[in-house]
Amino acid sequence: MEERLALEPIHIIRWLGRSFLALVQTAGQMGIFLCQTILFCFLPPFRWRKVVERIHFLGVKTTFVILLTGGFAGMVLGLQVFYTLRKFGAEALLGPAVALSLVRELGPVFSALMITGRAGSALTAELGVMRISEQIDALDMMAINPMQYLVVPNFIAGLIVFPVLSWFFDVIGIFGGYLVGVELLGLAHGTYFGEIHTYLSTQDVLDGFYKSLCFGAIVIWICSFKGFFSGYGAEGVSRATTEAVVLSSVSILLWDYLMGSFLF
Amino acid sequence: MIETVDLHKSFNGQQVLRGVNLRIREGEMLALIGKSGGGKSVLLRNMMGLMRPDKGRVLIDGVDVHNSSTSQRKSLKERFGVLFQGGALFDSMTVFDNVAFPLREKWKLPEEEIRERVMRELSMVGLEGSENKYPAEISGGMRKRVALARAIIHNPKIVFFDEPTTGLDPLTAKSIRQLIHSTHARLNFTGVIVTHEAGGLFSIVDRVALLHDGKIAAIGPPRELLESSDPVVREFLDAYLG
Repeated sequence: MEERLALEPIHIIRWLGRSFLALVQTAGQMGIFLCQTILFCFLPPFRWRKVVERIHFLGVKTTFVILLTGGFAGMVLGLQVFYTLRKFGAEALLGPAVALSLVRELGPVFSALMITGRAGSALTAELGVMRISEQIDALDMMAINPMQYLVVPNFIAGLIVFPVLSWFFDVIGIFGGYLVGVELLGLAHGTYFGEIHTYLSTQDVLDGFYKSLCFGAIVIWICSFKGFFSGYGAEGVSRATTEAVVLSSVSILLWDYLMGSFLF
Repeated sequence: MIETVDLHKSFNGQQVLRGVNLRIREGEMLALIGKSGGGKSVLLRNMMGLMRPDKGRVLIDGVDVHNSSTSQRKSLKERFGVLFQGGALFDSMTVFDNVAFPLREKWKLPEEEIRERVMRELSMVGLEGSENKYPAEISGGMRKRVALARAIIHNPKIVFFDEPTTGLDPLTAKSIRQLIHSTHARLNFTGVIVTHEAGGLFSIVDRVALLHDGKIAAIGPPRELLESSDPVVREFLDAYLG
């Protein structure tokens, strides 16, 4: 018993060391994976048809979810902000408050989280199944670079889909806020849109665009990596999918904070 | 010619290959037999370049598979055909698209020529009329046939077969063996068949190598192995041949 207790700190240190090394190794692998993906984006063959297919897979199939969540997010935002502004007698600023919150922050973040949940998880599972059923090895043995064939089209599609769906989210969200603020709570139509026009600048739209562009790169990078190197069996794919969604979601929020703090 | 030189491979401290030395001649069909979990697939994956050995080399026509340039490896792989254990068919594509895949993606042939070659190959493996089906809609034996058609569609010089008849009923397994045999006779490729179902394959291969304890325990023509008095060979073969 005494001997076992005496060994415990060693075990803890060993476990910590092993975990740290595994973390560093995974971080290194992910870094190399990202660099290779970016490099392969600029090397032929360019598979544009595959990019269009992936835009459909990542974007078109997610549009309905984005419109739905965007609409409700705008309505909730309209409701809450209206009551807050009324306390200061500033209800007229509901339009810009909703629009700025959506365009700069909620649109890019919420849409990225929604795409991660709907399409990112599907991407990881798809690549994971391809890994365990040797389809990725089959590509390799046909002298077709699996990263160029499978990851690069998703990466390019992600860079297109995330900003576009973020804009969809913004627009539908602003109309959701309009529905609550103007149609339900009685704010003037002209006030709502007129103030948005006054306060929302091109720079705000660009800030949101840069964010969603980064989120697109981050989500596709993480989800592709987790799927590409998933463990074996159904359990391996399921674990990879969970890890991809959790890590992507945390990374979105972390990166959002970093960009918000240091860049804008 | 494929040559492995003192090949070692271990996983988490467990030594799977302990110095495999093997030479496979050009145009030869070699069966690599041994117990399940004995390292046959690991050896095959090392030969194909999908796995890196801890020590030793794999040379294909003098080119070191693991220590060559990217372009050399690419040009080697262009000469490979692989029949994976589970077929490794792309499940989002039809049978036709699966077989056409290397010709479209790698060789960029005109669509007319692709259609002609794919239909010819599908007919050779007895799958006329199944070209529009998806892998999920066909049987295990049919999937192996599609995978074989895809593996040989570009007339490879070397074909690797990973457990081609595992999990199939005896009749289907026999038909797949005959198919491999006729394809080899037609295309004259160098073939490596990994299997733990030794018996049936003896009639279609030139030589058999027995992997035991991480090394090649015996190698020779099927008849030679069948008549061998080596206790390791006997133990393995008797278990199969009764």
